[in-house]
Amino acid sequence: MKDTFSIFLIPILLLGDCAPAPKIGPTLLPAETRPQVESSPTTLVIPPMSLNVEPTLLPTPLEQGLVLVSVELMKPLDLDPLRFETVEGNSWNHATLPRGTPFSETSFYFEDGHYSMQVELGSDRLIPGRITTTMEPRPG
Amino acid sequence: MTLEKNDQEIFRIDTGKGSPINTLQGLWVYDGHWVLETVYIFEEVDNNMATTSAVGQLVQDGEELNGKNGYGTSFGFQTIDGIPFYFFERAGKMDAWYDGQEIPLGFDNIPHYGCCSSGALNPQKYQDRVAFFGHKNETWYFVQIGMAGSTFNP
Repeated sequence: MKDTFSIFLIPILLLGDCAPAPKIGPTLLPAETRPQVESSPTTLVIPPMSLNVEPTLLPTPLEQGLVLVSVELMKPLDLDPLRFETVEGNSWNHATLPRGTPFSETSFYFEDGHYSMQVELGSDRLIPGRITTTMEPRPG
Repeated sequence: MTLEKNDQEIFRIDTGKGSPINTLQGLWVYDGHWVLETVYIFEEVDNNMATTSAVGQLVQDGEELNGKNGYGTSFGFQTIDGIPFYFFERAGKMDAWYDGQEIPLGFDNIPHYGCCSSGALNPQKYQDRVAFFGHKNETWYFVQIGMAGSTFNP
């Protein structure tokens, strides 16, 4: 026989609205007042789209077959993360960050032997990031 | 909050004060076990100012993991490839647990249980991975943990 689980919640009267989120603006500033984000260095070399990257398994305790990819964000997160738009041009969209994640639109670059990436939080809210672990180019 | 199995109450837990945060985060059943994730809402009142804080409570088969493992909070339960995964805080550091082993992430903070606009920073759960933000040493990170060979590969 299949087990049947049931959850019962004691009803609670809630007064008031949700408290505003700290540090995260609930609305976008007018375009003319939004902070301008510096553009990418012109020395960036865009890797060929056919270049494969392969996550490298971390040592113990991630031996259960898990992969961890960590991206250091070069700006703090106290920006408005509510609008996500597609990065056009020299982008490698959805390479490792599939749609549905907050930072779903990304651009990957290869510079000085390191991959770096940018994450777009809106039409003018690029947050540069740097992959700090586990991404290595596949030989050949 | 009460949990019943086949019309028999098997567990009961306090979730504290009312809050916009959903105090029932989820119920999972896997390999003959069940896990319940609830949130306990603390409220501190100072004159006319009320401040709330949320503590995750993971319960496995009726055993509270915070007390069992010395966690300050445990949250973000999910399965990755059918195997249980969750985050926890202990001694001021936030790490993860998967398949019986701790994953030493070492974050000072992993935003979770955020409501409204701050909910955009909550961990995002998928069947084969989890994506989340972490903060340590004054730096923010975006991290994905998942199965090798899944959609991690471009």
